[in-house]
Amino acid sequence: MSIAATDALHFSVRGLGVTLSADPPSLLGPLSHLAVHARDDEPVVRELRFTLSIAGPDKLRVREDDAADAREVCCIEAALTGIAQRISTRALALYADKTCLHGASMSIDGRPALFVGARGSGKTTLMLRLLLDGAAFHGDEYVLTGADGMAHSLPRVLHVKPGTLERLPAVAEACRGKPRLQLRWDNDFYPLDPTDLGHDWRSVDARPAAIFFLTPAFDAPPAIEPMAQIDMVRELMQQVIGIDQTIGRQARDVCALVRGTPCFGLRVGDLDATAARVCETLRALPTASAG
Amino acid sequence: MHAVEDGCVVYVPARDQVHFLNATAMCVLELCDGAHGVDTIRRELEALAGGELGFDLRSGILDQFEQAGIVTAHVTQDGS
Repeated sequence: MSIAATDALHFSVRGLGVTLSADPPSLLGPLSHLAVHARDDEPVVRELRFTLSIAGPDKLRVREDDAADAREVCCIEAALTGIAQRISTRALALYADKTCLHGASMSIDGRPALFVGARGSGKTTLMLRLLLDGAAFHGDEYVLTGADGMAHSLPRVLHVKPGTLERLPAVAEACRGKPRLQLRWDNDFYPLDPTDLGHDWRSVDARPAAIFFLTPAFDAPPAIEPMAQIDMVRELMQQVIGIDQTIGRQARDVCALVRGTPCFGLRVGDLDATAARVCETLRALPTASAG
Repeated sequence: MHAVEDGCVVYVPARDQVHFLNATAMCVLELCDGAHGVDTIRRELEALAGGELGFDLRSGILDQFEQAGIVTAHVTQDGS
């Protein structure tokens, strides 16, 4: 990852080089919230460029690459949301040979772990709590896997829901002044980069030391129970993103990821207690090889 | 068939479907090799379990396998 701020922003997302430019340059400020500061060792194999400009009194124009047709949107929030989605889509397209899962990844004391669960299960809030406690953050949304069972994190800025801000004041402080965006299928969120909190961000390729499946129970004590691998496979298959691959290949990749990996059901309760239980569980496991 | 420690996922290409099998069902599927009849499979499972099966092998598993397109029924040498 590298970022240079002149008349444009440049960064890379695991092989996808991204350039964001603006006319007038004052629009670069809002665009900076989309920059991904995750480090990785992938050479850039494809370039993507967006130009944001003013189309009229209440309209902005987003042009992707040098396409003749551009998209007009009503406001800066719509422009940012659209560009962020396109960046993720194009980055994922570079890994069409992998199965993409909706999940988060981070390492605690050198032990990489995956966290999966339905939207609203408290995944992002838990990731932020662990991050603030010193865990190494890799990704909050996309995990790529293949026949070798390795997990590859693909970075995207964190989508912090307003409810998370009440529970994590340091995150609320970092989100102050950020635009409040919304995806069609999701709640409002603030785009947050882990480096905004003063933490390093690195994408990794690793065999996970554990996989946690999150279920929300915010008013109950947290609990971690061993989970059958076949049950984890079933849950992970529900979290596959994209429909371009055959379901048979997805099953192969998900089984390769789960095979030999300790699996746990994690009932997410009180945030601090949940984070403590996760750390305690991971520290009891042997370290896995990270790349 | 893609196995994990306590089950497997079976992909049926003709229907583009996957089925999640627990350890018992996976064991049954492994015995569905065209040579074992229903009675033989039952005996082998009972030997593994150390007692009688607590379910009907045919209606509990084999019929579901057949309906899902995982196996095809045919008459074996022992007539089952």
